[in-house]
Amino acid sequence: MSNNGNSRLEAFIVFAIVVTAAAVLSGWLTFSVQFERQKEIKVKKPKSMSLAAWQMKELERKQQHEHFHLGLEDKALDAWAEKSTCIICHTVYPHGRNKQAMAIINLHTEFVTCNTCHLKLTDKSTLRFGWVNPPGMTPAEKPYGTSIDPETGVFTQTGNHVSKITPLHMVDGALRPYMSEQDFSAALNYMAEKDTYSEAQKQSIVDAMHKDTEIKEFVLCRQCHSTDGIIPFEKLGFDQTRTNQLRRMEIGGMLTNYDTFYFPDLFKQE
Amino acid sequence: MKFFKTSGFLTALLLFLSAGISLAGDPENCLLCHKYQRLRGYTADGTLRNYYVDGKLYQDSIHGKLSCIDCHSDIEKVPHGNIEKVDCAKVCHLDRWKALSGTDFSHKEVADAFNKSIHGKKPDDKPEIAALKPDCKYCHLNDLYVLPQDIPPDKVMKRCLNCHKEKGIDQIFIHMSHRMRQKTSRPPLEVVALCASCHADKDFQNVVGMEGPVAEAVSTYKETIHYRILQFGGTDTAHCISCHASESIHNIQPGTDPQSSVHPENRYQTCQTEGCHPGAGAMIASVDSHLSKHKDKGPEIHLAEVIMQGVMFFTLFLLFTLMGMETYRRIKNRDARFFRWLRKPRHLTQAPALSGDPIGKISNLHRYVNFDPKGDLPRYSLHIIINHTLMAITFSMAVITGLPLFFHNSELSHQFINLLGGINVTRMIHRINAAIFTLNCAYHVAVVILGIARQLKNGTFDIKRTQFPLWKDVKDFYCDFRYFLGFENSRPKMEKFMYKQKLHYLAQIWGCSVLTLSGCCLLFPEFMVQYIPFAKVSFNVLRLMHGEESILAFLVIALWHMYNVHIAPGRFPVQWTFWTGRIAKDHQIEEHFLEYQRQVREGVAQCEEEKLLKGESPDVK
Repeated sequence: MSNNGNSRLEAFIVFAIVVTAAAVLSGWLTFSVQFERQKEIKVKKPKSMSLAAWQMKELERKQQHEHFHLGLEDKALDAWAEKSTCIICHTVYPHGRNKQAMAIINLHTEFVTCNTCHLKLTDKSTLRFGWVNPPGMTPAEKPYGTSIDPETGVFTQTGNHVSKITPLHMVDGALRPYMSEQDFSAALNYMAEKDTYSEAQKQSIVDAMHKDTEIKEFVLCRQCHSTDGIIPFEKLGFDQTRTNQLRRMEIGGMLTNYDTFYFPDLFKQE
Repeated sequence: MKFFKTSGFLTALLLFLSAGISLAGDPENCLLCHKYQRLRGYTADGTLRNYYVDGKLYQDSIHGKLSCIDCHSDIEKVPHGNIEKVDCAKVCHLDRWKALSGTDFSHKEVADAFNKSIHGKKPDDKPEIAALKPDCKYCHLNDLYVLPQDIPPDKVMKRCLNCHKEKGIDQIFIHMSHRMRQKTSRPPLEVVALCASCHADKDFQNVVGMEGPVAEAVSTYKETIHYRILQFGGTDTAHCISCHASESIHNIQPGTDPQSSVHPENRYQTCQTEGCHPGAGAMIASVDSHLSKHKDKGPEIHLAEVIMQGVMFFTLFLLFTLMGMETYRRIKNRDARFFRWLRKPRHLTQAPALSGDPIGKISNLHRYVNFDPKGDLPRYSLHIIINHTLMAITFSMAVITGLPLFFHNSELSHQFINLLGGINVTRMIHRINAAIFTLNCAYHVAVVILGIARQLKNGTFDIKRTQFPLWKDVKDFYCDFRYFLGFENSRPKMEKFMYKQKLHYLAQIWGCSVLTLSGCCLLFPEFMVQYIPFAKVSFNVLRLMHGEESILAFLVIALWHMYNVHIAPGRFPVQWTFWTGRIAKDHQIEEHFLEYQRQVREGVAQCEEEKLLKGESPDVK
């Protein structure tokens, strides 16, 4: 074949490639424009937010038509969502078995770490309690829930919604929380990969994670909420009003003393 | 039982004493438990329910003076067990209200008005349908009834307190100021989301049998400029309630009902309300403000979109093919180095004998001439340079500020609009540029008409030197493509404006006309709808085409125009014709040989062939 013939063959091959590329590129531009602009915005999880906190926000968004009294954002949720071994697997609403008291028990997760109630210890009289913050956070303000605003009657507003009461023990002469930061990543790994484990492997990991955990609810109320309770509320910075409320177990009494607590007629409107 | 009741009373007293403090609106001390954010439990089906009540928020709300059991009247015990939903239509025993009006307070009249609307429960509704219909609380959440932040409350309240010292006046203020602001307290996007929770939920629609335009009301609304402005944080535009509810809000009726605010007879008055479109006339009723692209529901829009997509595909296909083949041929024939400043003229090794008119004697002359990067030969007048500069600036700015609205669902668009200072600033920039763009088009038309008139007067008018398409352009296109494929040794001898420029110019005439007309439809709908022909069809088609046409124009300019002028091998990185009005010799000879020939004969250009053949050209070593 002559040089001229080779050259034309080359030009035809190039032409075929150019036409194909032009068709693909034109089609992509034409239709991707339409797809792109018709794509609905999906509310994405902010990078800084944990998955657990995001899921809770989504749930609240879906339920907003069902809750007349919308409340403030749960500021402690995100801070602890991936910084507490228990919460990573069990969420901040783990209590669901006791139908009457589950909501009351769940509210504690805002103020105390899980092992405050669930620590497996035979002698709890030697336990000490203190505040713990999520790793990397050192809030300067008083923890939320430690004082009552006399004007409004609700908790005093504070910027610290993350500090929680936690049991402490002596390690090398210093008091340290029972919580272990190493366990956070183990729990995150377990949740990410649990579908790849066999049942036996799962059980083994779960048993190892819960070796210091005691599954108890409710019956421990009076160990903290009484005048001789093991948590020294005043020493932890609670004001007198709040300390009194907590020692008298303002809510728990309704549940422990009576099967059903009836409102007196006194408050009924005419 | 009596024992329990007595014990309960004593316990309650104890609790109140221990709690020490209870809110004014909470005599039963419900916040004892409900003040905790994480007071949540699971229902029988495993759904997590929230029982939290923000005490401060509640106290500051319009309902803050009511006690919990005023509304939750069937709660008698703790834990509460299964309780009924609150009935907002029940009578409230508000003493102050009764003292003022002599009647008991109730939301019953509002509830009755609501029940007469399309959303209300009707006696003949099937129970399963009635259960799915919204109640008051579906739209009204308590946090909507707090003191508005955008009105300085203390300042306003001071005036009220001059006369009204009664307890509870602050609650009335909240109620009144809330109502006086706008039709709804919810942010507009929340209103759309609220309506979308039914009108865009296919599963829900299947259950209740919702179909037709009402089932697509949200998706078609989202195609409108109204929604896009809202999406970017704008507020001075219409959302669902703006049009579909009259001032009494709750009596939303289907558009076929003569009572409806969007019934064709009432629609223009609705458009006029709240100062949106004060000049809206009856003609606006003929236009459906929801842009349905469905082939059955909006056939004209559907057809226009299909045509626009087809035009876009074939235009881009043709241009990409031309660009690809031209690039190949320019590289293959080594017409020039890729970078313009590295280009050097080739040596003319086989020169023909110098006899007669030398013009056109040397094939591919452009390869053997040198050039001035700023341009050698005159091409554009000052008016055209001004036209082009204004066009480039205003079109770019209009594209930059308009594309985010076209791609309104893209996160990047939102970031960009925020960068520009928000949607109102962006719209202003877009409109200012669009206005200059339109004036510039008019200026260009004037330049062209006056230029032709002058040439006619002088007897110098030559249609071949204009952008007017001629049969020769088709032949030039054919020959040029043969050159790209290797069937010809040189490019055809083309006029001042070659086929590519004429194609581009024609497209520009079309684009500028469509963009200007459609832009006016978006900016002055009440005016335009009265004067454009077949408004019922053409108005919405034009509104759709504003975005579609600008995308096509943007792609053609960004890809093809920039390629031909500044990116093609040998032209990169820039030609200065747009600024100096002069074209380089090599370019003039390669793509506009007939114009070069004309300029040589007119004495404007030197005859390059003659210089080469005589060996006078400094370009030849």
